[in-house]
Amino acid sequence: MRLVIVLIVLMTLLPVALADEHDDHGHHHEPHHWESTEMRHEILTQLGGIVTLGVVAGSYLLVRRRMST
Amino acid sequence: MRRALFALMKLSFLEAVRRQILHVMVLLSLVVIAIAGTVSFFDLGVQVKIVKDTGMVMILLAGSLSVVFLISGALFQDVEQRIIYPVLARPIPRGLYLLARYLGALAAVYVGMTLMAVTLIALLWVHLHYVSGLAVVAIAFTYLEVALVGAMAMLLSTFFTPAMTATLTLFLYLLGSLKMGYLHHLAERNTGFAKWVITAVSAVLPNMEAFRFKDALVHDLSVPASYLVLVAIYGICYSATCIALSIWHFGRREV
Repeated sequence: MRLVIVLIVLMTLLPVALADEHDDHGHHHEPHHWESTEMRHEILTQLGGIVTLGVVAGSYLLVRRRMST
Repeated sequence: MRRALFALMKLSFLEAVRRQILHVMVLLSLVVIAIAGTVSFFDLGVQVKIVKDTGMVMILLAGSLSVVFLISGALFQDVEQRIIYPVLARPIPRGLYLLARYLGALAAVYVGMTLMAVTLIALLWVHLHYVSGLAVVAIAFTYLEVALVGAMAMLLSTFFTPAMTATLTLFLYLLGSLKMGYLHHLAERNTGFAKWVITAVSAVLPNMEAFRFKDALVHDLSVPASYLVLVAIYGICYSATCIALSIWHFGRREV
């Protein structure tokens, strides 16, 4: 029951917290994330990191498998 | 192996579907979406914007909270209630078990999210007599975001207790949502060790903002296809990394 109350409060408050700030005409003051070069750079950097991590982990597993056989 | 995966996924799905928390989340969200779509205070243009805005927020909110609460306790309960031992006594890798738990719980959440999405699309159809492709795209990326949150919860659940996992996942989710607007500015304003720590945290955190196309849907804006592909690859890769790390850690852990 307590959990249900917490959920109701959360679900009532969080949409307000997640809502964006708009001006009177409903337009943003800042560019949207799909227009931002900073956002693309950020995503590409993280993707690069993930790929590097994957290559390192894959190589390590491959070497370990060869050593064990 | 595939048969074992599907059998375990089915069990995980059925267990998740019976959880009260999922029912509460879906019902509450459906009520809020239905109220936003039927109670009319404004003219049609504003009303449609409110329906889109509320619908997208509710789908994301209910999906994220459900997936966090369903996944954060899954492995812990299996070990505590000794359900995991007869399963692992068979020739089933631990990684497969974890993957099935994740996919089963995610499938249950997706069923709930689909109910909400269908309600939202039906309401948009009633008001506008057409549904833009962007609505489907925005909902699809919400699914991807929920999958990523679930993968994070699964990774953390191999380290921590359910309560700690849920709290940490929601905290990281919030930080990931504020990454571009808050953390980057915070890093710029600080110097020395504090800046180094904030930059390091920011580099590892997932960028949750990238999956949100609610504004594009509400204001009928176009989003470049190349950006959508980039974000989709990013979401899949990040989720796969979280699951791979959780399989690696769960495989080494003593249960």
